[in-house]
Amino acid sequence: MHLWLVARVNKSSSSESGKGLSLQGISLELGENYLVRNLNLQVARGEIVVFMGASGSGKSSLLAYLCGALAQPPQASGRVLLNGEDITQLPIHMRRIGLLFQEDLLFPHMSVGENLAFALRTVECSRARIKEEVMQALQQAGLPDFAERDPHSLSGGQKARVSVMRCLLAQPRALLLDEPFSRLDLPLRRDFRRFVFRKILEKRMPTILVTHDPADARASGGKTLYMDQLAL
Amino acid sequence: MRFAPPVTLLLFLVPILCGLCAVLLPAFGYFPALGLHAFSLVPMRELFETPFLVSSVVFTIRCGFLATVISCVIVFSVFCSFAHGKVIGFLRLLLAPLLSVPHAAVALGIGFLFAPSGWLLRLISPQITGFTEPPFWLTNPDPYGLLYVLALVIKEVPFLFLIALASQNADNSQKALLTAQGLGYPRREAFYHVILPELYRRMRLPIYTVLAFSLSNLEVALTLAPSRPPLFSRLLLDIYNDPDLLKQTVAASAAFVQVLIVLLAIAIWRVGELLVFNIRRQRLERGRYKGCNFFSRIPSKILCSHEVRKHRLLLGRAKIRQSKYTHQHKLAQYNFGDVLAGASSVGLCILGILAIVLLPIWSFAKVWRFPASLPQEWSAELWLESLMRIIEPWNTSLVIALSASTCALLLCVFCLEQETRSKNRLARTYSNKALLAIYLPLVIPQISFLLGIQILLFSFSVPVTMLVVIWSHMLFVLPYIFLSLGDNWRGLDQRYQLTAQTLGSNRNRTMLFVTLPMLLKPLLTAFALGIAVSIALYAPTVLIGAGRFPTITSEAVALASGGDRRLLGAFAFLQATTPCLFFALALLIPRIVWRKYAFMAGG
Amino acid sequence: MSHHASLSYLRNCTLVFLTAVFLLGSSLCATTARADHGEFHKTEDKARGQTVWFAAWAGSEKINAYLRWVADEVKQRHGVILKHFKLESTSDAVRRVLAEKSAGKHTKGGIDLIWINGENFRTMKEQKLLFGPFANRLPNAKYVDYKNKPATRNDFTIPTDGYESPWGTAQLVFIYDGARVAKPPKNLKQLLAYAKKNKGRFTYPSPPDFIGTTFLKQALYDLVEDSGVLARPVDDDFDEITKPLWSFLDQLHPVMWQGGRSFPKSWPKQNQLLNDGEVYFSLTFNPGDVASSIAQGTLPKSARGYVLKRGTIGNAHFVAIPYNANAKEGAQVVANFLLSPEAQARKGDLEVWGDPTVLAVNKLPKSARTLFAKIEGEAKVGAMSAKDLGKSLPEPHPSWSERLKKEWQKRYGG
Repeated sequence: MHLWLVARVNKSSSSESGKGLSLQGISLELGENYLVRNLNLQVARGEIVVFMGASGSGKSSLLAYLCGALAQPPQASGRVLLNGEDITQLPIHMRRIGLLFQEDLLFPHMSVGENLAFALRTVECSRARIKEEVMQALQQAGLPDFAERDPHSLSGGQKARVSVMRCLLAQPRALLLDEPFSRLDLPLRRDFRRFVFRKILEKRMPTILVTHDPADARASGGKTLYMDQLAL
Repeated sequence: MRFAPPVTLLLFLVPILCGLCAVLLPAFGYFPALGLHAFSLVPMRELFETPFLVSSVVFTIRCGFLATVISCVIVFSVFCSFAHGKVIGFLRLLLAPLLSVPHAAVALGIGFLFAPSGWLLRLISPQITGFTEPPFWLTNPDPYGLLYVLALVIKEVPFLFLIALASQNADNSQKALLTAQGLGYPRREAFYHVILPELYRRMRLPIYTVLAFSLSNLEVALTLAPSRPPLFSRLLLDIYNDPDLLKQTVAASAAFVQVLIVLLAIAIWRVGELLVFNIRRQRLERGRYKGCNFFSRIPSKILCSHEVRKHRLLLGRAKIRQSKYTHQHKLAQYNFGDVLAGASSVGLCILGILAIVLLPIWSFAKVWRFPASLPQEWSAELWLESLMRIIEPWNTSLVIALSASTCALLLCVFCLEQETRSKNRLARTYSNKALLAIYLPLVIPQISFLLGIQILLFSFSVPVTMLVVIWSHMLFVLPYIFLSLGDNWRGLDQRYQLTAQTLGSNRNRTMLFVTLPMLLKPLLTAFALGIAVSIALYAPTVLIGAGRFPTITSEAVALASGGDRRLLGAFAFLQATTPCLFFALALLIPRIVWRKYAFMAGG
Repeated sequence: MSHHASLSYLRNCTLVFLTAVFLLGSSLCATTARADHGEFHKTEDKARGQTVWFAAWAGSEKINAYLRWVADEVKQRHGVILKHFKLESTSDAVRRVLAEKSAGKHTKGGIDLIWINGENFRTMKEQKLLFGPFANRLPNAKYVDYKNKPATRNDFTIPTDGYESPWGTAQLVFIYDGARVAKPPKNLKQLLAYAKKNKGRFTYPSPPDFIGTTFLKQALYDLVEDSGVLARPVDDDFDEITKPLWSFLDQLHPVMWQGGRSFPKSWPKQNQLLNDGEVYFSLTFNPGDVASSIAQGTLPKSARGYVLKRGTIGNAHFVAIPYNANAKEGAQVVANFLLSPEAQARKGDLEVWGDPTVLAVNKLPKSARTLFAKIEGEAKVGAMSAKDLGKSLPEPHPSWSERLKKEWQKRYGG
């Protein structure tokens, strides 16, 4: 199964069909009200679509729905296509959609290296390869020699970078970002944003970014949607 | 996994309900084996003719409430005063051994501490008191049941404390508390308005458990309660033990009444709790806070009096570290209420530990008469003689406790995991509500449904095997494990599991490598609690096990009827130390396994 | 042989067989009164390999140890595996049999033998929860001193009718601390006077405890004019007869331990109080208990036993077999062994248990008599001789216990 997934990921990246993430007629219904009403959206590969809106407007519910973790209510309908494949019914771990939160959520009972390796174990079996990739990822995050470290001992910026690397090592086909920058200080935030966006372009992932910060929206260069409009 | 909640319910609810029915029928006069084939109110009527019934019920409810209220007040005050300091850690260490000691052992020790011929008096006699003979005091048993209440409090405070620790999210409550204090509420008031409602909501069920136990337990009642008026559980036991078998119907109706008493008490408690929280809301709505905190008015001179100075030093040291990030800077911030809370809990610990220490001393005493502070003649005879014979029941105890706790823990984990996985919030709530039924064995008095279960087992000619005994232990172990594990499990940030899944790890792998390791400490604590509960169980072992599987507790209870305090000391000591070992492991193992990870080892 | 003929042949065979069974059964009934060794061999053969669960109070390590010895012996001699079902109180066993009956478990019950007497025996017999009669069929029953120990025939005035086999005898003994009490009160008037002088130093276990109830009966014996009424079931004149008892207790309680507001819950608890020095008196049903408790350290060395001037209540304890016992043969073999001179003599040894025998020692073969002589030879601190025990009074009819308990509870609480 995993091999099959890997194969699919590779295939779609080589075909360059550019289909990306496609949301078709998605509605989130909460009793009488709609959080999202008949949303149709195409996110191309490497494109970042920004969602903005007040708290409680359903941003997080939408993200949860897209990655397959929505608890009902709200009642959801519609289809989600990823690179042309209907993933609406797939369980979370088979969707291969990366998810980043405001908090880094590094597993506190694993070292930095183990955290990264955790993402690899489902796609890669060879120990040596895993080790190699972890080392590479740490290099890219600018944190060589951190493999054995306790994540608790890292600074906020370091943790954030590790968590992005961990997410990417699982080779996601799309990325959902739930205010991943808002916890960091301003200068750090800019650096980190640049780091993440560069990765998104590198890997050509369709991305949805939920944020409060207009600066994020501006930096993304993509289109911005407002949640309160989606409900109409 | 999906079947875990229904299976759990089936394993528990059905037999308990059947058991209850099997008690209800004789309670209303239906008992074919005794030739009673028609329903009647005769047993009820006969029960109400029992002398002292009303005073017994009143006395029982009074003692039960007193014990529960005191336990709650102590636990909440401690949390209010020292929610985030070393003091809590220190208390936790002190309280852990008490949690593992069976009620009966604590009762025994407390009884001997406070008796007119007890250890406290022996320590100061005849030098200080001048007594060469035990005085004519009413201290054990005392006519007001205070000693009974004390023993219960000693046992219940650690239990509630453990649950409170598990259910409290330290980080958030710290912030909320500081926010409220920043708004100008003194700490106690802030705690009352901000932390207590949420903390109490999570502790409601354990508190009901404590209340039910205080109302219906026998272990403590037999050792420490006065004869007149008798506690209801003792009254029930006397009727139940009556050689006249026709009295069994009366005993059944008494068991039924006991269930009613417990339900009534819980209802009263519920009303009281609504009242308290209504007052809180009203006070909040009334607006301007006038600063009428009782304790803050106590002049600081009292604080500096001799008795409290030591405590202040002890507590102050812990607070200094904190004051870096709290807004308060003075060492004297601990007011009288805090000292009282600290002192009472430390006092309880000391009493409890003294009571336990007595057990091994007794087991080595040959002659120990009043007023000697220590045995006049020592002897290891008893240990040498009985050691070989203790090993087998000890072994049985361990096997039963380990298997029951393991099975119960697995069931709990599966149920909770299923709850996490369930994507339908409504279904989740329903399944949650249904699972409340597993707490029935904690709220319903044991005797009432165990007898029914016994008859049920006979009817289906279930052979008496270890398996059946283990299952009967699970009835009591599982709810406790659920109580102590549930909040920890639900308190875990679910985004960890979600993250793991988006990283491509399926649910089982996520559970195995993320959820369970992160919850290692609460899992082990719950397991140890299960062991402690199982080891202390008597009635199911004997009733369901038909005496085929003697455990250290069944041996201890049988020997207790012979009243040799030294044998009791030895057995109670074993009963206490075995679960203690597991609690120690539950504290140690996470420290060793997660020694590299600050968050895991500390949290 | 034709088909038809073979069928009738079969029927005839069945008839013959049934008649034989019937005859055998009735002959069994006829010989129940007399022990028949030859017949008991069959029981012994059947018993071999059976496991016997003996439900017995397990509060005394000494008794438990004695039962372990019995288990070793019956295993060696008869191949019967004896297991001790350790009880906190005998009523647990009675209830278990009742529960089994309720659930329709009429065979393969969980208990094969019960240590029992008095009211528990009475209810079990009344509710037909016992197997029997079997006691007189036991070969060793011929040594039982039915004549001089009437308690072995009538358990609390209820005829045993062979539904239980005697095991030991008992007599109510008062214990006092010789270091505190110079001259123990020998009747209840003296006791009251003593208690008034020495407040808080006397008490008794609260009924329905066995010993506590016996104290009430004993007091009634001492206070009632004609003790003959006690042998009969309680009648309408209960209030009148027991009036002196209540007025005596009304006076005694305020000067008792804890002012009579609390009582020890059982006799071992009272022994403990005596050992702690809180009270000067205790009670026991086993005359050997004083000496063995001193040796154990559960009573002070100065403790002594004595009986009242007019004698104290004596009774016997037995073993019985539940109607649904799984190993009835094994249980009979064990019951028989418990009656053997060897087992009885060992039981009488103060070092072992100190429980008086039910056998007529003088009727035993000489070799067996020496066993008893040996245990009587040694003098121990606190040991009581037959002379010390004096006259043993018969138990009143069980209905007295019931009424006394009820009345006591009404007056003085649980």
